[in-house]
Amino acid sequence: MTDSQFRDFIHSAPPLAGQLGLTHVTDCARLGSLVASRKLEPRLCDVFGEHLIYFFYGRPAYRRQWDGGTTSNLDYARICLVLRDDIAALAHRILPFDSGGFKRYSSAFHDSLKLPDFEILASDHPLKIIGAFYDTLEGYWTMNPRQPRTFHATENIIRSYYQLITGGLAEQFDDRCASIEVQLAAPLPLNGEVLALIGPNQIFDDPAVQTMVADWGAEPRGYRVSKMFNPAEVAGRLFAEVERFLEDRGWL
Amino acid sequence: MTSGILSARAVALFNPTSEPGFLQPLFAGGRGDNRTYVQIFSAPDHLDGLIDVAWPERDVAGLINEPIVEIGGETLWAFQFPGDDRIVDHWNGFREFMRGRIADPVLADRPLLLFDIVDTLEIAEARRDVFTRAYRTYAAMHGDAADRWRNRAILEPALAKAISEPEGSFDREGIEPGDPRAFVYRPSFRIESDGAQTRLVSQKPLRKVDMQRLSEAYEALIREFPEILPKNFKIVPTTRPPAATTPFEMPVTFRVILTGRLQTTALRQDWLSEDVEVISGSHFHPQLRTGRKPDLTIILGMQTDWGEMVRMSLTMGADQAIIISLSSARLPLLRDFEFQSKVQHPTITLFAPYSGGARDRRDPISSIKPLLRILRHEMKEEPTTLIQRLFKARHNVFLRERIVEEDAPIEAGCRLAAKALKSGSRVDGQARLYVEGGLFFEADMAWCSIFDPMFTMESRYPLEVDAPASTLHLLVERDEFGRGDKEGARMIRGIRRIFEMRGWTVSEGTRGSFEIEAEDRRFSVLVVGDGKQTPLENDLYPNPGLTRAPLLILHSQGNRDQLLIGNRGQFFHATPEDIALMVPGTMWVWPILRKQLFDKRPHVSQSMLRLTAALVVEAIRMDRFDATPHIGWGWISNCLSSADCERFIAFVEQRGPKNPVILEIRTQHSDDGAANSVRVAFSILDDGPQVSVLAPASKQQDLF
Repeated sequence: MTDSQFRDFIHSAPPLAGQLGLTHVTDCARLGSLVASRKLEPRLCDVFGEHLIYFFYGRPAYRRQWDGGTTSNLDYARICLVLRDDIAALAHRILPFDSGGFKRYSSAFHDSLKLPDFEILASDHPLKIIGAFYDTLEGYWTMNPRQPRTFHATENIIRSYYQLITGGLAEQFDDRCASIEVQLAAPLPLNGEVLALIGPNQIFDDPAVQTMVADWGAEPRGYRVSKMFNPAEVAGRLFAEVERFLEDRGWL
Repeated sequence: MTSGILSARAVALFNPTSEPGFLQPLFAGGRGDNRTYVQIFSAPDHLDGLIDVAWPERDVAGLINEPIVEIGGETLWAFQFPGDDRIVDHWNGFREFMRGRIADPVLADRPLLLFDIVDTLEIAEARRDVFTRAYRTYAAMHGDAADRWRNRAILEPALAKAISEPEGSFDREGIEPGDPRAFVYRPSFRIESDGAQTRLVSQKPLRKVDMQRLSEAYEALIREFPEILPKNFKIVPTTRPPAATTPFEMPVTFRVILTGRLQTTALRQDWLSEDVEVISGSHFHPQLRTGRKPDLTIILGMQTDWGEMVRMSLTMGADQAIIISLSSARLPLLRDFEFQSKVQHPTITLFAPYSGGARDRRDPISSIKPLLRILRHEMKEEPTTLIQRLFKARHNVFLRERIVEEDAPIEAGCRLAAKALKSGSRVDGQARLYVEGGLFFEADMAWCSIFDPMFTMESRYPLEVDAPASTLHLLVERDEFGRGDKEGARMIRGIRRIFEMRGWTVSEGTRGSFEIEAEDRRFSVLVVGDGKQTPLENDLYPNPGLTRAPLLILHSQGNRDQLLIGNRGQFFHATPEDIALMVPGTMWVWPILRKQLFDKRPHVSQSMLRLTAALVVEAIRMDRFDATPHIGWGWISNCLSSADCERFIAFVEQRGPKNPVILEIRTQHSDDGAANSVRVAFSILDDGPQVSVLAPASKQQDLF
């Protein structure tokens, strides 16, 4: 049976003021279908067994396999859609971390904790999670929660999550453990929803992409692919590009 | 963490965009190694390492010819043109080929891909047209996008380069993919614009000289891109409130792992209060640690315990780590080369004679404190890129040179270069210069350019570090066994470069020597390793005098007595450090002799007495003495020129290297058997020796 402890804790927290938007990261190989459809389609998720679209709040986390090994996947150059905050109101499910990594976190949690224990109300906004654990949006952005904090013995789920995001568990995880995940279950037409399209410079040579961006009113923000040939570089570079966009907007 | 392989062959190309553009070469190692590798480089033309990756699922094209790359050599690049046309070549060839294809019609309708090509390959002549066209492409899509893109992609990198800010590099050893501390290029300023004006908003105070450079750089950019840049440029101090403490600004932490004999040495202070965690190697394993990882792990040991350091480094895994080796020998030894061949992490060797163990009462961390200070300073803004920025070379030496107010920069630089050479540094190796203490340094002094003939300096200006004393520090690439010159050739090559640093023109000579020339004066120079290589003097010829020696012999391993003995003869003997004093157009012989004889508290030896005697004679010959009537200078000169001249001269005292030396010269015995003597003050000035009478001494002598 799902424990409502975490959900209630977040529901009662005041949302932090401001906004960061939602991000959806994919790779260049999918650009063609995006241009053709102008929407995001749900795809079957092996964690929940449902057709879902995944977003992260603010942080451009990328849902890929948690292999945990030293061998890196050579990924395609990534593109990131930055979408309006209002999209979160369409949420089917919201979790305070990348659900795909739960199997790894759970080995560091008490074995009684399950993934649904960490779901918040779909009607609550991610800014409530941020307000509950961070003092500022920058704190969330840089994984710097409010410290120190103590919790009652009965607040075990909240304490477990807090330990996860403060690095207080026996194992350390990457930033996806603190990136708020927003899932949609229905297709999302993108007209009017996209604030920025971040991707390799060369994708904007394509007249179809140029038209799409102009139709959306989105800002095209290109980066140089040849700076990012190290797999470990890719995530960090995209992080920098999104961070710069948010700073240009005055949101960070 | 980069793999340990040193070379690989390209077997395929991966297309990260599925479209025409840059391709990523995939490599295979040697026989039995079935892993796939990609290149890691911090500069586009230099291969730093290879890391293993998973073979991509698709968009991979195999190669028939399999070009080879080697660590430290040229990188391999590839490009897919629209259609099937493809180029694969090493950096220089690749660049030249692409330069010729900029105007290719197949690229005509791809202005942003052209931007990537021109920007990556730094094709200067195409920048104006290509960058302007790229800007217009963005402008057509979105009103503000073009200015913001231009600020990020063109202005910030160009202006950062103007003040030698690092742009970051590709390899992030020890950083997990997706870690928020992975590469984030954060210049110390941001560019904003509103159409009429470009503003540079600085995140930290800028030096006046940097503001000047930024303004000049922007002027140059306006000339290059008049159509896309506002003419008005303003530098503004930041009004952004200080950011909340972030992982990027958290205090830097070091974890120092003591190995070998250092483990039994007691620490003398609480290093944890300075963010340095010190652990004994026998109590450490990275898999057992919990809590936040340090920004840098340092494996510290004595050079003789190199095996322990190697074993510890193998347990480090993906942690960002370096090895610091304390050496009691200034010169490179064979075990250094063994150590280099076994270790995977970057190493720094510094001269710190340290016996280690319980009997040595010195704290081992104290010996590396200046290095920690510099590492801490380097990590302030970019802790995660330390290894890539500082350690272009795998093996390095760390040297220091204290600066006093009278030091000319070139002199201090030559001394430091000579030390580096004797410590095994590689001529033309990668080097970084640091300046500690600002008392004697001008902000715009081109310290780094002093070393240009000797090393590849990584920036135009040294990094300034707060510290109480004025010191130059040099972190320079150390030669590796089997690579580069043999030791003798390396030493000769390095000495020739130090002469160039000092302002001499160097040319080939005969019979192993080389010639140096400046200000219409020319000398032959012979470099010798040990005394056996010193050429024999010709007894048939008289000594030409100290300022007229036909040959300068530089002893790379000489001791003081060898120099002093030699300088009574036909040749002039010096060390590589003495080149610092060889100012062209001056009588440099005298400052060198002064240093050889009196620089530090001298050990009085027969060779020292004999050379001093010869210099007193020289002073008399040059009429640089008091014409005191009752002193028989002629007789003194005869005595001090005899074969056993040391009978007639003794040191009394020397009150510091800048003061005259007090000598007692015994002249003749009086009737009662006591020796008559005279005390003189003897100095070696910049233009020659000088002797003056103090007083006849009493018959009770106070000798050294």
